[in-house]
Amino acid sequence: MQIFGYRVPNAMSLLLWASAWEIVGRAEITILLPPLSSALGRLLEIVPTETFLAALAITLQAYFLGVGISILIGVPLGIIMGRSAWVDKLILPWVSLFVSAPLTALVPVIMVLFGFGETTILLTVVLFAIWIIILDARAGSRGISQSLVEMSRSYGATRWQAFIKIYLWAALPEILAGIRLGFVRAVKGVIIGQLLVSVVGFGYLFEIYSSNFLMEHMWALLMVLFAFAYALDSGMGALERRVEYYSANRS
Amino acid sequence: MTAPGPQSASTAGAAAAVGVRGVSMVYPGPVQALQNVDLDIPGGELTTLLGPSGCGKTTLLKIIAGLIQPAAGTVLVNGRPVQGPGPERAFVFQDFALLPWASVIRNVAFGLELRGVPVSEREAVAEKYIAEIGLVGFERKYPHELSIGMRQRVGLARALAVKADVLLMDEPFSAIDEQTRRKFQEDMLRLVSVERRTFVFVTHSIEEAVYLSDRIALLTPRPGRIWKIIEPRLSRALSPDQIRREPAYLDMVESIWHDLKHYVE
Repeated sequence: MQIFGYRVPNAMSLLLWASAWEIVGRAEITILLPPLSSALGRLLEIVPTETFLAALAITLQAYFLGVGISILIGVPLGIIMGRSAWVDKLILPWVSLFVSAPLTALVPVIMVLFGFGETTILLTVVLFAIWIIILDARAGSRGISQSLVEMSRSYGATRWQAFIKIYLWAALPEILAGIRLGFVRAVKGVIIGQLLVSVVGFGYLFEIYSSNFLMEHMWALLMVLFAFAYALDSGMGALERRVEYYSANRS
Repeated sequence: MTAPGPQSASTAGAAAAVGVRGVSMVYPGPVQALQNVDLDIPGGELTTLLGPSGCGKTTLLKIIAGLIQPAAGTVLVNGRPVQGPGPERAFVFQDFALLPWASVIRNVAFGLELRGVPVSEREAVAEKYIAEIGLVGFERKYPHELSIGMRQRVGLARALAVKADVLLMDEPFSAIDEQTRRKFQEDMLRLVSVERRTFVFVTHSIEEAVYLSDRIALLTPRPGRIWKIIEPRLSRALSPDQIRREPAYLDMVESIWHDLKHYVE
């Protein structure tokens, strides 16, 4: 970035907005926005507390378990859909429906079925993450070149070998793109699930903070969640770039 | 061999490694790609399927490979009818069909990997054929690090490594530039004489067919049928450059071109 001919580091904009936040906060314009420095101070204060760590543990467990289930079901299902016309016809309408549906509206239904507990949160994570993972794995497996498929047949690969040794790898760039999007959607899922259930994890903390107008706590919590989502997305992005070298020249 | 049916008494069938018996193929449309093709491919030689584009020569090769089910007729390999792909046949693909995420040695050994051959054993076999096709030093490279010509050498080594009797090659040099192709063709001749396997080769290049083949099966345009069998019988004692200047070679290229000319608009 260049301003008046001077090179300005990109972090400058972050610093600028942080100062603006601090100034608005100190001006005490609204109770909703405490100064950044006190929110950060609160962050350091609440993170080591037992309630926070317990909430974090519940959240991370539901998150990674949910994402894991979504990957383990979504990737194979998507690959099979891409290779089999009738499985595709059977399942694609549902996947297309759910991938764009307002899923938040379904969470109360899950709540009725599975109660106000961790199962509901886990299922919410899966509900949010799985569709895009299926859809991208499907796209990747449809894109596998006909000659690779014929190669696996002519060299005598069993279905299982073709899946494990060829299809999975050939579709890997799309699969990873789908998992990356799934990770981000799963963050929404875990938070929305907890907010609606609101008796466990961060949802419980949000409930306490907001009902007691603890805005500094609230912002501190939000920063943790934003940082978490951002770190996951960057990590997946780095992983994707490692396999990009062959996505361009798959033959 | 107990080849069933009345065709078992057909000419030259005794030594045939591959027998094509009344094969027809219809694609949805309907397009009649092949019509009642009969062909004997003798063992230990290189037979080329040559014809104008769209004559179904690749379709015929894939039927022999067991990748496509013919609408009618059967293919016999070593006297046994083809039901699908089998270990006695190996395919070399026009676009190589290498695994981009696997090293050269793993690609070459891939057919053996699928058969469950232990790593050390299959890598030893792969190394032998990597040497054979002249890619020593590239074992740990990946396909995208190789030139186009080298990639097809890997595809060829993979087909050789599974020790199939019959190698089916689908326009293997068509994606390769002219100079590399010439070198490749010369290596191919050496390979045929060293390996003593049955090669079935598809090409649309008349020069390539005459230069490489022991026999050329000339196909008619769609619907493809065997039009005539030509045996170039060029002296293999001559050097490659001499062959390319031989009157016999040049005359044969010319006469095949004369045959095919009126099919080309």
